[in-house]
Amino acid sequence: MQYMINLQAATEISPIFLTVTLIIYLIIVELGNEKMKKALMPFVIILTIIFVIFAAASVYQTYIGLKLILPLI
Amino acid sequence: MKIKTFLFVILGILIAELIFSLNQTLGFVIYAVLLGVVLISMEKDITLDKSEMLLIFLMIVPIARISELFLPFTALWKIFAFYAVIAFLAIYYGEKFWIKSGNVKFEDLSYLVIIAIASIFVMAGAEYFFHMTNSIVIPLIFFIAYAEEILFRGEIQNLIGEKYGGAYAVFFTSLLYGIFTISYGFPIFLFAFLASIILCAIYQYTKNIYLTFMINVVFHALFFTLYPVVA
Repeated sequence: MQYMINLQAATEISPIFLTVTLIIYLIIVELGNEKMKKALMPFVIILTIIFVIFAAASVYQTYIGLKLILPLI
Repeated sequence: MKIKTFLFVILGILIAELIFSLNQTLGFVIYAVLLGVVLISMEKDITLDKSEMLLIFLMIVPIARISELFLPFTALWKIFAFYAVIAFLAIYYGEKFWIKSGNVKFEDLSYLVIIAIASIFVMAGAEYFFHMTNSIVIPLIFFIAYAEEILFRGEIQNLIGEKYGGAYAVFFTSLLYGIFTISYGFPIFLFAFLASIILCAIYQYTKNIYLTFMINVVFHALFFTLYPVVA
């Protein structure tokens, strides 16, 4: 059975890149005019959703890892 | 927008795609910079004109590429998520900018429901009659064709056609379509380019998105048979 979420399936790029891009786009949205906001908002929404999925998956992975390690300690 | 700017953006996308296939981190950085430059270059006027809308549509696939990189999904789900991002952005901007293809308002969500039902029927048929093992690919093909048609034929080709004329629209849409597959290799680029020339020419003459959608499904079925990457 193939699961939907698999952290190994993510590429080797550091999530810091995603965070920095998201922050830069948020700054552009904030400083830009109305037209800019309109154009960029869906991109920011998409990146935020991806960020949340990645964060949730890695927190879950850490939790599973801890659950495996803690009984040994 | 002058044709020079348009060609410059296409060249930027080509370079980003080529580097992306060699080094993902560098490709990601180039895509992010390209997106930023394009968006900041639009900040002159108060309203969006046709060429700026075209620039936004050109940036949809790069943003889907960027987001696909960070999705911790397995291969099949990754492809689905990639096209879901494209479909969402294409429908959103299509609604926002009032873009219509011919006399059909194809962004209508009922179209998606019909496609979903049709794909489930085809999948069930393939399971029942041919005992296909990877029949989950079939709805995926329908979804991919849907997302590609509304973005490339319905929006990009329409806007280029309004701006520069029909022949340019067919050529540049096909070139863009090919460029976005160039990271898979040159034969696939050629296949996508030629397939897109046929699709764009049909759309240019008939202005019927349903017809090109069905032909796109056939092309994708052929492609997945020749290159069983997902299976």
